[in-house]
Amino acid sequence: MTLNGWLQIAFFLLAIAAVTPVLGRFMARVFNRERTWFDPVLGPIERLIYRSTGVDAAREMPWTEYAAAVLLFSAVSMLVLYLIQRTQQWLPWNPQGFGPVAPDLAFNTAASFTTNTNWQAYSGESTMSYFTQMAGLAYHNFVSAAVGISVAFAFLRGVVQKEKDTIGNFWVDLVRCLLWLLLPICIGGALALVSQGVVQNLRPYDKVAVVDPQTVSVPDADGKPRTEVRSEQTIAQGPVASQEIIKQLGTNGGGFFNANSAHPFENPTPLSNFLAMFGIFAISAGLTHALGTMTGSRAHGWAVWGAMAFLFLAGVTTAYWAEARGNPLLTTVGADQTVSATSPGGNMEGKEVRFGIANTALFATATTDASCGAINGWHDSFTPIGGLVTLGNIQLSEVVFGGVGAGLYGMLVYIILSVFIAGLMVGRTPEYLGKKIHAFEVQMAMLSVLIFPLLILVFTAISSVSPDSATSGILNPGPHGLSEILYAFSSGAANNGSAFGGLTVNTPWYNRTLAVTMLFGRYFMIIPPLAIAGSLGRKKRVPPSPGTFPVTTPLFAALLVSVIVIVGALTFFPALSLGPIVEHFLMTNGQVF
Amino acid sequence: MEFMMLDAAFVLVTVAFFVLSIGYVAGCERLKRGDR
Repeated sequence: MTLNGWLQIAFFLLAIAAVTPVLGRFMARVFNRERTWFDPVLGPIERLIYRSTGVDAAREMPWTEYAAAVLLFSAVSMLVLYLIQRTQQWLPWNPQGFGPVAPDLAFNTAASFTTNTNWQAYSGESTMSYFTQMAGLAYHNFVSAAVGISVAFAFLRGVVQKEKDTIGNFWVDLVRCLLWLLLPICIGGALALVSQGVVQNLRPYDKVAVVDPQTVSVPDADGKPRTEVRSEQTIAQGPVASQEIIKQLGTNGGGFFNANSAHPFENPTPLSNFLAMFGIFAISAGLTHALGTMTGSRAHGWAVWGAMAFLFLAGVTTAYWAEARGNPLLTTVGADQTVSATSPGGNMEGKEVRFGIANTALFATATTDASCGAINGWHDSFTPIGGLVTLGNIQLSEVVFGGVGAGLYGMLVYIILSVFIAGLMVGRTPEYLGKKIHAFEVQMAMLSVLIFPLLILVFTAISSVSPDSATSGILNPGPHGLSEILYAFSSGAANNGSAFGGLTVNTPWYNRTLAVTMLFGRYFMIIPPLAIAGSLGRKKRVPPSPGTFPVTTPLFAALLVSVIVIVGALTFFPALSLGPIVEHFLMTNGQVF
Repeated sequence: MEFMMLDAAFVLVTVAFFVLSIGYVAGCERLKRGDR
């Protein structure tokens, strides 16, 4: 570990702290339909959209109608994305002449991008046309993020308002989120990325002569190896910057290229790397301030931010320590893993030299804290403890800043559980910001908490004992192989989308089961928070009493962190023990996988 | 032909999932009414 590394991590967190109130206040104004600087330009566009689609912007929805609108919109969007992939050979902007995406893969990808997961069982540059990338995948990057943020604000309205049946209008929230928040930031952000060298064009791929022709062994038609001299390389390119910025800002994570943010055309410089990581946390951090602004308790917003920042720091510190320490087995065989003027030291397997240990550990922690899933290094190549951090972050339900919107409504579910536990301790009916918490809210919170491990553990267990369809895809045996399967279903259920790697997932089994996991992980976890919002919104606000548990103090933040960690640890500790934890102890005894 | 069957199956599964989700919404609301 180096001082430089720590300073970069500290600077990142300070930058997130600085943007939190700015974005939080702005988002609260946008979703409260208050005046902003963009109104003269965007107001007419907004009204035109409502007029042309027949939306009555003044009409508010009860939670059931709000949820139905979310589901209807998502269902239609998913079917359109499936259709685009299956017919891309007939659609424009396909200079490479890619054929239709296979049905299994198209289903998986449609579910993946609709649910804000962006799990990718394909290589973008060799599978998807420019039209599919832009009109299919980038479109979903915008709208799936907007759906998550809209649901978070619907939840906030439920907390804030008194004796009201409605929680807002989904179509208005969606349009305002896209027009006021995501599009303006993405236009500026994409130009900033282009300035760093991220490509943005619609040209066919270039073919260039390589400096040093390579002799490679390839199988012939009969499967026998034959040698071939390769003197040409294909340089893939396309509309990358426009997709890259929303991929980070919307915590989507699906890269234009297979190598994701490790690819020099997606993430060429340390500054583009910083912008990528900043984009992952910016909106989710801002949402905590919006929580404080809308509830009239900024201190509560900062208490939630503090709990998130504590968990983030715990993760990044552990990952940085583990990766900087390296693999002791490599030291015993003579590899130098110490920091020097010419080497970043530590475990550099699967990491980009231009980012080094600190920025890879930071990126990996941020992308798995949030439900982003972009990567700038290979998580499969992390040390067991480093890999444990990425897996554990996802299994905490991604509430550490979390996915845009999903992080906040996931955290609010944990807040409901925390005040419920605090209420049990003092023997009073629990309250949250003046709303009494009754059985229904706790039932919904528990439903949301239990669906998540059910999906992960059941599918992981089945996959671990299915030799033909699932385990044949494992490239590493032993506990590391289990980690690969566990990570895949954790990533799917949490709508993260990153892959541990080392698992062949473009198979009918994984394409279908992961698609189902992503769909249930998204919508069956969105509905309970909306139900809680609808229920809280109907309630009276009661004044604080001596039995009220204050939600603005360090004690509240500590209780919240404890509840999150205990729920996560109790649920996943046995599975993690069989995966990265036992792998760590085996590594210290001389065995790697 | 096989691909068309798979296309139809995936479209049906998608529609079935979202119909199930609407049922889930209705179930949660019924639970709430029972709680009042």
